[in-house]
Amino acid sequence: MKKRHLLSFPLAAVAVALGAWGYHAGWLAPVFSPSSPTAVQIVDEMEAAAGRAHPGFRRNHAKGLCITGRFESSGNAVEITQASVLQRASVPLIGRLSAAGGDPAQADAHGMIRSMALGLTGADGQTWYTAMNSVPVFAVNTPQGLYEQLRASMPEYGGTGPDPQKMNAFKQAHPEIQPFEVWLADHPASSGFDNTAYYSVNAFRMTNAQGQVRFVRWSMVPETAYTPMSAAEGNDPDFLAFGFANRVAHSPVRWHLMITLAEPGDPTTDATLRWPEEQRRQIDAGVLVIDRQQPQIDGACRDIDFNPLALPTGIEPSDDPLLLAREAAYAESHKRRVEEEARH
Amino acid sequence: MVADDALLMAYVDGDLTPQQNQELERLMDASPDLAQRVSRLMASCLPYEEAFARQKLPPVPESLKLKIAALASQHSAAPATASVSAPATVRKDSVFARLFGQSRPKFAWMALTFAAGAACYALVLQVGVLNGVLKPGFEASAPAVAQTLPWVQQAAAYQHLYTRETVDYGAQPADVVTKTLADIRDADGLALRVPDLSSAGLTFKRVQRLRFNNKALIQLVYLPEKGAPVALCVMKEPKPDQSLAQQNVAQMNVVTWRQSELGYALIGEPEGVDLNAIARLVADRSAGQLFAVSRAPMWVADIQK
Repeated sequence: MKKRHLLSFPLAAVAVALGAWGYHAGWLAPVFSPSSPTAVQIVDEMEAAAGRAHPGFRRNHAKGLCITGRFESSGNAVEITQASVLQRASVPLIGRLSAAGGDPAQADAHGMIRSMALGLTGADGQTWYTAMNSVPVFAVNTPQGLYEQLRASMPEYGGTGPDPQKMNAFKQAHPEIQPFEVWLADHPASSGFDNTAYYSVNAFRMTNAQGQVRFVRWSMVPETAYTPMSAAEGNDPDFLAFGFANRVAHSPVRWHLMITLAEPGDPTTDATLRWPEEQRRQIDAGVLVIDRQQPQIDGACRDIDFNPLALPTGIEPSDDPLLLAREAAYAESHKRRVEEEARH
Repeated sequence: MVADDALLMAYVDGDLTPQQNQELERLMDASPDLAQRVSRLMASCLPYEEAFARQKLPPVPESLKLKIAALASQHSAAPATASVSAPATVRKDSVFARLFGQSRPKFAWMALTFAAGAACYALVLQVGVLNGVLKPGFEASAPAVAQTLPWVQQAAAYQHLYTRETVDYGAQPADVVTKTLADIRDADGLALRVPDLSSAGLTFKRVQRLRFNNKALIQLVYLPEKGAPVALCVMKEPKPDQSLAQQNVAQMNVVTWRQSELGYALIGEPEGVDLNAIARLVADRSAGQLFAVSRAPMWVADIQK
């Protein structure tokens, strides 16, 4: 309980981060439903929650680095998907590791949520984009909830953090945030990008060559053991990039792609609810090997959108309203970013 | 307010009132020419005292000693008509530090005289009158550098005045460094890390909070094993990222880039160290951090407990 109280401020930032993640992948159709916010409104709120627009940067998860490497598919997932990237082979990838938040200059200690975005290209030329988060659940389960969360996260006038009253009111109105809060309280931020697991959060459908469809979620599970961020690491505003650069300089960093299969009754349209993974079948689909990193000033990931709805044959989105709403917000953010870069 | 040279010198020396400072800085914001005049005056404020403190001077010839003693004896015999005040000590770290700086040294007319002389020196350097005399390789007219930001231009011109002796007199006290970095974080609002460039043969010497057009300009100075110092200058630039670019500015080799809304200029002499490689170390964040000053959030400390 005490820990959760102490985490109240980070949670506020994380609230933005959550939106960031949603945005990051480009959620929210222009008008998802008559009551849903537009992508423009969502991105506007992300800018407001970050204090202002930061020209040329992603509106959330603005600070990050580029990664390259390969995915060594075990072929174990062939039974559930015909996606070429999951056939037994090694495929190249471009990715991005980032911290939640819309300020590209923020100190890393202020970003509790990290993200991994990947683009894996199979032999048939199809690319699988996925944007994952270091928290397995989302704070809200609708675009409207995300919009309200961003509104509540807006910095208090004259201050740097959100208005506690507004944030509390938001939490009262959105009890679905509780699993997210509990998870954060029980899982302090890791000491690096390399010892964090990243989760798809939303459910997807995978279809095999026989046309059989299964609902799945996936995660990237690190081979590097988790350790929490230390105070010393928190003293370096760029400890995440520094730590990863040094780690990669010594040896490649590896994660396992674990695909969790849903059972009947598991929620597939609510990203705030986890499945009991320990009771679900999991497939080790292969190993992600990252052997290089570059700053995003000129790294290969700089201009990639990592739209998680850009999926190869054999992987389709679920009916999760947040997932289905991603593309428009992503497009709006990307449009702003490109226009700003052109002006400079 | 009439921005004549006397007023500008007083500004450089920190003798104006806060109101006068603000008024003059507003004028500088509106007038690039005026800002350039001031920056040239400020660029003259090198730490000459430290630079020459360790200079080994030849012994005074015995004949000269005798002559001076005779003159002194003759002078003391005459009635005193005026007293001569001791020359004011030229302040240390006033370099860029007023420019750009926060200090408010007390005015002393001798210091003003010194500064004026130094300013003339800087201006002479700017037009290249002493080309080839004071500094080998200095060209008479600096080629116009397209796309070079004004602050980079000024920082490079200033860095051109540095010699190895300028910073070779010793390390900046750790408490001064710590205080300066805390001010950079808290007052200037910059999440700046001081990269440890020892793997590239560079030793950190000092950090200064400077100002350019009323905005913070941070100068980190490093000394290579041989040759002139290298400066990593940083300013807030809320614009999109920009990759590394090498330029020649004010006869200095400069590598610039913009990252996370901070503009960087790594400045060194053309024949010096490989600035591109060092810039890549900084941009990649593959160099460690010296003098960690940013405070971790309370919850981090709590987690550690």
